[in-house]
Amino acid sequence: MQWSAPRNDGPSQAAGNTTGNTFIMSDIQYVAPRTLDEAIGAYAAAGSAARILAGGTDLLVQMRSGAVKPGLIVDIKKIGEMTAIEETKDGGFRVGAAVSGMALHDHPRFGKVWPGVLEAINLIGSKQVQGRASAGGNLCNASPAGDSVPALVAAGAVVTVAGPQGRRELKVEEVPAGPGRTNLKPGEIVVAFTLLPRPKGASDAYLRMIPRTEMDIAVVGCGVNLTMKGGVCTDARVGLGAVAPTVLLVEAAAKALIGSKLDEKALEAAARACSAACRPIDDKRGTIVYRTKVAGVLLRRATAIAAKRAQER
Amino acid sequence: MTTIGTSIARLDERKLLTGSGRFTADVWPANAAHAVFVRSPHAHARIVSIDIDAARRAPGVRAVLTAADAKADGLGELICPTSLPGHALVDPHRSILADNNVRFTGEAVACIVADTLAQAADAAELIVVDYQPLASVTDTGRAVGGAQIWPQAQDNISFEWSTGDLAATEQAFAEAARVVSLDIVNNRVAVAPIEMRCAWGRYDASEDRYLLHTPSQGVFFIRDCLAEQVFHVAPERIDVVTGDVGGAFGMKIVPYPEHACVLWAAKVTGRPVVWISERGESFLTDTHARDHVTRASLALDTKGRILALKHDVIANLGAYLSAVSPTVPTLGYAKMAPSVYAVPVMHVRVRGVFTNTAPTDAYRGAGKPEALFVLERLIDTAARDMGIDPAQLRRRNLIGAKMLPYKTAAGQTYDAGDFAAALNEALKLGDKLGFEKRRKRSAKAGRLRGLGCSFYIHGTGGDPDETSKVVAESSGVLAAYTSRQDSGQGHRTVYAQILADRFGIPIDRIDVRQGDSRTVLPGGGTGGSSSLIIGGVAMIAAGAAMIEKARELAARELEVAAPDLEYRDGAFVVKGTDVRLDLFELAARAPQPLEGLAKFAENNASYPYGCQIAEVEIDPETGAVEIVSYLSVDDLGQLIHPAMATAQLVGGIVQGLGQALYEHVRYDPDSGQLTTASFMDYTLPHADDVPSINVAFIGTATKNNSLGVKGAGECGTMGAAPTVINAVVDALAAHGVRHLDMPATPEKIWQALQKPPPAFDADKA
Ligand SMILES: Cc1cc2nc3c(=O)[nH]c(=O)nc-3n(C[C@H](O)[C@H](O)[C@H](O)COP(=O)(O)OP(=O)(O)OC[C@H]3O[C@@H](n4cnc5c(N)ncnc54)[C@H](O)[C@@H]3O)c2cc1C
Repeated sequence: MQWSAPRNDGPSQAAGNTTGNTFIMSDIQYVAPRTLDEAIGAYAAAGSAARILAGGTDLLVQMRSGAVKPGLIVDIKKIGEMTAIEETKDGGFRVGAAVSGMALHDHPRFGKVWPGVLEAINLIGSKQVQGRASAGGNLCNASPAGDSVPALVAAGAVVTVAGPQGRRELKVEEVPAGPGRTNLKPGEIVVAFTLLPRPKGASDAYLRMIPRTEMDIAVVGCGVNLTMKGGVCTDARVGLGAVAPTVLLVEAAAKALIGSKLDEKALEAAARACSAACRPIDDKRGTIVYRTKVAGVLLRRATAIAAKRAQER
Repeated sequence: MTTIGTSIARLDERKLLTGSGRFTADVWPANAAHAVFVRSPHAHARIVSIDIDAARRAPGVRAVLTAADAKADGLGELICPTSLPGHALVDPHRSILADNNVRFTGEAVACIVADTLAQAADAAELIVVDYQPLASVTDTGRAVGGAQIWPQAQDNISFEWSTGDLAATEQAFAEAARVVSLDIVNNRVAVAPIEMRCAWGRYDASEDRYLLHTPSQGVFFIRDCLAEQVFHVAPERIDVVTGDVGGAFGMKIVPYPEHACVLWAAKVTGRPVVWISERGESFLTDTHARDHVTRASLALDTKGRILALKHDVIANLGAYLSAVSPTVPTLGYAKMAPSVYAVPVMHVRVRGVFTNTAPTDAYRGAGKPEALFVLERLIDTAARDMGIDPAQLRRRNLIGAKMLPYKTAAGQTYDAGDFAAALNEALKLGDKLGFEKRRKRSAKAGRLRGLGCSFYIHGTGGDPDETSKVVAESSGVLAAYTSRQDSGQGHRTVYAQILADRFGIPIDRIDVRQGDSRTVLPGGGTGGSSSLIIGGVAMIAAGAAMIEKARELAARELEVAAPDLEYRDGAFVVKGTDVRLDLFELAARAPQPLEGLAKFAENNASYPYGCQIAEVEIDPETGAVEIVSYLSVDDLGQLIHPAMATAQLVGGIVQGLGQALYEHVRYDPDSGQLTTASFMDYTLPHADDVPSINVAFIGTATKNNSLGVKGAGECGTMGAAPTVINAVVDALAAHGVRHLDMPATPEKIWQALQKPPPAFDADKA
């Protein structure tokens, strides 16, 4: 980290670089527009060499390692709509794509209504990372192990996307296309997540399993969103991360839960559905059997937490 | 008033905590050029050609250096200066830039020097190396007979070493009522200090002198190796300076190719040259540690008394012999192998093998943690096989306090200690009696609870060669010079405490000086947990020599006979009068510096030991482990600074539990690529992975040195890994788990719970 140490850098190295894989920041254009239209204009015009910058906790790491060499960086944090958290009158939420985990944590109501979504976003990295990392970045980075994504999938969040052709809406699970790839069209930016108002007796939870407690990659992440009425589960959605090339919506697991009292039989069926949905890679962070089994374990546990929260609401 | 035994504020804490330390990377000269290394992407390959033309012409480039240039400039190779008396050893030597072949991923092939780091890095990308990949072997267990790395090392064996009484050991095994054996893989770990390796060098052509500034554990070893082996000059022609050091742990004892290259490049370019490792480079090229594959057996009688111990070890040395490495898995390993137990006979056989991996070398404990791990695991396994409580089995075998001094089967003579007292205290503090209740409570919550207990004992060592100098300076400073290098432990504070105590000088007037071959007298540097013993004892002796010299001078100044003078609290007083002459005033009047020199002339061996207990809880559905409590009862002899001694133990324990649960340097077995080259993949324990560690001291005096102290630095590490694994296996034992290799990751634990390993066949041992 040569730019932080000596006081005698020559002018050409002041911008910083790394030795393993060189990038020189002065080769990169940076813009920080104040409106979405300007951002889309600049982003679309620059084509595939451009990158959106939200918190940068993925992007800068990838640039430093040489994996990504953008020609233009479009910082979206100066755009009001991208960093706002709005609560609608009927109790729904609209969360700007670049809102940091910490800002969401500090919101007085969001965590009460969507504790699972919040805990998933707040699991990303450390305190320092939380100050920057956004759910939009987590989604668009398209890692199968992104922590907020299964919870947002379970929550049934809808993503508003804006691009040169105007605005459109997508389900969260429709955004990732594969590891590192999204279904966004050229020039499209994720603007916000919309979470619908939820009935009494509804709540959610997210759990992940990693060999470590932080700053490592989930081997399984599981989000469960439930509505309970008189001890019976009337609605459910289950999102599963890190077990397939994209985060999965596991409808079979939800079906097993809906209509049940979350009894052992229903849990077992849902856990099995989760295990069955897994198509994990066999890498050093967890072999297939392990991931598959743990997916079911997390489903049971996340369901129990969500159900408990639902009762308390 | 003495501060010995008091945890005074560390003298360097303000500096270090406010970021005003002066580390090598803080102090390189403004006009320095930057070195970047092109490193091998292959684990093993022949270098067909290196095309450096484009790089040489790139903007700002001052030099592009390769092995051919090193030869042309007459530079020698790094040679392993340690040997194994009585045993042959293959040392292939190490070219400072890879010559003909590369033998591990990350090995330096070319050194580019440019005006800026960016230019050097850009130019590095222009170098085209044509490699012809060769078959590689990285795995310790496959090294013997694996892809041949050195023509002179048949079966990749550098040495085969043994110690102990083979015949007596075999006989004891043949007659034993019970034999317990284990196959143990001691995982390879990275040192991963906060401050990575770095170096800057300068060459003064008018004087033909080199200056190297680099973190180290002592400037002389690196200086002497570079001078003799690489530059072929008298050691005095190379000045080596070490500033503040951010963690060393053995890894920074040894010379590295980059040390030689910055000096060489400085000479070639006429500019100072600086190189600062990146984290990825650090993982690739710092010496790694441990990495053994061992079959070990313990022979016991019907009562569980140990009759004999034997080890058969394959130790991974990496692709080259790092400077201290041969001694680590051999002399270091066997030295404490019987630990605190009355082991009548033992035999240790070690084969040191080459692999296509970064060289291994000393790391906190240097061989001893590996050997102690084996014995503590064997004892737990024996206890389980025989239905004896593990603590009870330990107690039965402890060397009794009345048996001291006791000469072990490894030839060490333990002088002082009370091992049973440590065990009793640990069992009491750990509430061993209440454990079954806690286990049941955990079981109710769906958790498997386990308790692990281990002893450690260290025989402090290190290079006893030390000459200290103490100077009373006219400015009012008592300066003490030592070769023992601080790398964050806080040496300065304890040295000041003992000097202040002995010579009655206020602590804030004492200045401990280190890390400069121009001012410090040659000596062995830091290693073997003995800086306080060797440096401290020599310093006190040097101070006493200085006082004697000063007494003569003071007698002349005060016109009395020397014997009439009494030295007290920084002044000479004429006995029976109030006539006094301040030491520093005398220094101001003295025609020559008021200094004393003394060599270390006591015993550097001391035997600090301790008993550690951990309790873990395991989630059987995911395999996740939590260490719920950890305690260590330690005998470090006379404590100078209890808080710093405690910090050494805690830090050491964290390194040990890191190895036990998280850390593992992995090479891909097919490609030989390092797959753990970042903190994302090499998982050091985080603060929240570590329980609060309870350290309690019991003290027994040692007479081996006049300070009564025992070493502290490596102790925690030695006990921690077996303590944690014993606890994990205890938690899993009911499910048929007999042993787990480190790191005990959730997945490994989960797998073990799915299918218990087949019962071990003791007859085949
Ligand atoms: C130390 C550390 C620990 C981490 N731990 C975790 C963890 O535990 N769990 C986890 O899931 N992740 C983790 N991460 C990864 C990262 O922090 C998260 O993925 C984070 O949510 C990314 O958000 P960001 O705002 O920083 O994204 P950025 O880095 O700004 O962007 C990420 C990617 O998405 C694109 N992008 C961002 N916003 C938009 C948008 N609105 N529209 C279109 N494209 C966009 C960017 O161009 C880039 O390609 C960690 C990272 C670090 C450095």
